Amino acid sequence: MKNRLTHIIFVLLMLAAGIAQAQQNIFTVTRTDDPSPFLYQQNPNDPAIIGTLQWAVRKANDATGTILINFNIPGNGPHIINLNYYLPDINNNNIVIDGSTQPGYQTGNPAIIIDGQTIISNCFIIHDQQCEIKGLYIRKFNTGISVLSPYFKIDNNVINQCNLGISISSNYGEVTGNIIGTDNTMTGLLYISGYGIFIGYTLNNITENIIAYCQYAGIMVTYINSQNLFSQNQIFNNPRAIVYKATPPVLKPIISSIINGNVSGTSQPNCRIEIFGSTGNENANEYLSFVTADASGNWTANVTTTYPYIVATAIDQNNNTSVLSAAFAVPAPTPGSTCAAAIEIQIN
Amino acid sequence: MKTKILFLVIAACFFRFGASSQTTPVRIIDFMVLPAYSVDTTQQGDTIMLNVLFKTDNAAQANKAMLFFGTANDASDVKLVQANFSIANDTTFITYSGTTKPVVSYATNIWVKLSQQQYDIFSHATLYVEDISGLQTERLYFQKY
Repeated sequence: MKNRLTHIIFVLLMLAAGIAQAQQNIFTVTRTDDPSPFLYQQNPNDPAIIGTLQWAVRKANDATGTILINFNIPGNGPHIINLNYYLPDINNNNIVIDGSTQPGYQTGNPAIIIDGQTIISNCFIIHDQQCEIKGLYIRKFNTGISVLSPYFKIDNNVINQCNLGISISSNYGEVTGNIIGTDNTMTGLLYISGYGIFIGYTLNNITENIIAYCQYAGIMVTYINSQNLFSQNQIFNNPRAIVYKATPPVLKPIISSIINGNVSGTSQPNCRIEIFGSTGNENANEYLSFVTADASGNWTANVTTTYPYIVATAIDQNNNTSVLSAAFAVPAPTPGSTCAAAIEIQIN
Repeated sequence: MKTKILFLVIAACFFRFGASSQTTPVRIIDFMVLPAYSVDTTQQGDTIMLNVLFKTDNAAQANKAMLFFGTANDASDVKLVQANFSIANDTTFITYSGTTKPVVSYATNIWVKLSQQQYDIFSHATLYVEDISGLQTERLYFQKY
């Protein structure tokens, strides 16, 4: 009886493992070349195409269950995949393309570079739900990543030397931790010739990205009822940081004073105010802190920065985010002010 | 009589074989329809420009691309587009609505303008290419989110 029970449990465990394995699809990119896209159509198992990025995307599109495209290209990196042909769109749900799986990957310094050689229109086109692109260096495309479907994630990529960094035509997306228009050296030589992020829809979260050297603007929003959150992004050295095609959905805050590190101002009531160190107008170089405005729209926050100016954004309860406030000059520290403060504390 | 029947059967087989071998050398893959946003922020027009993209193999033997925008696969109830292939100096081009683009690395581009209303209504796009012999490729489908 005991043996029989053990046998049944063993069979059930094996079945469960088999099901789990069937639902887990991993396609590994092992080479950097890009042969004719019609090879796959003739024979998906053609050795000339197995292991290429194009092959991995096509296999992922044909698979079911959770799908991971990872990278394991032999040799010292970074590894450059020069695309000769545009990739098929990502048209299956739950596909994760994870450049951080390549040995040698470091945050902000991906080990896989996908190069469009300025002849390919798009690197990735996300065309099904819950897909994620992470940890890749994407350069020299017309558009780095285009999004046509919801619940996407784009995180920790470096995207530069494109006309458009990321184009979003869908919702419920997370764009986090990317470097757009430059790289981790913050050079201006790798600029985006249009917009860093172009948003044509609603309800996306754009957070903690670095967006710099975009020749039109850092972020462009064309959707009227935006409800797109822009939080804690460093946006600098663009002619404009955030631009709305229509009237911005929330008024930008006004900074009225900076006294002993206390930044005060006004905004629409109850907005979250994010405060940044700045080199001047349209630059949010360093995220410092946030504070919530009161019911009258007044707010004060204590911050410290080495930048000569402070700017702020206002975010309302629907996640509508304002353009940057006018830059307010940080007063030069008054000699002895630190001692005065110390004395004040001592007296109190 | 027997010989006659045998001849007819063989002739029929040849006829069927001949008919089934009439496939176009033109092949198409990777069909997609992308909204192309204008960088001109002052433009307030009620139109959406779409970049229709697909790969054409043996494009030199293609005659025209037929593109349907509709509310279902194979439907053209929103818009029907015919783009024409041509060859000049060993390069194949595709022309639609006065715009001519070369076919480069199989990539075939058509720019189609839809009104905002047409864009909102269309949910499916269908594509096939007809070659210079009048034979058609398989149909490719694109579904808009």
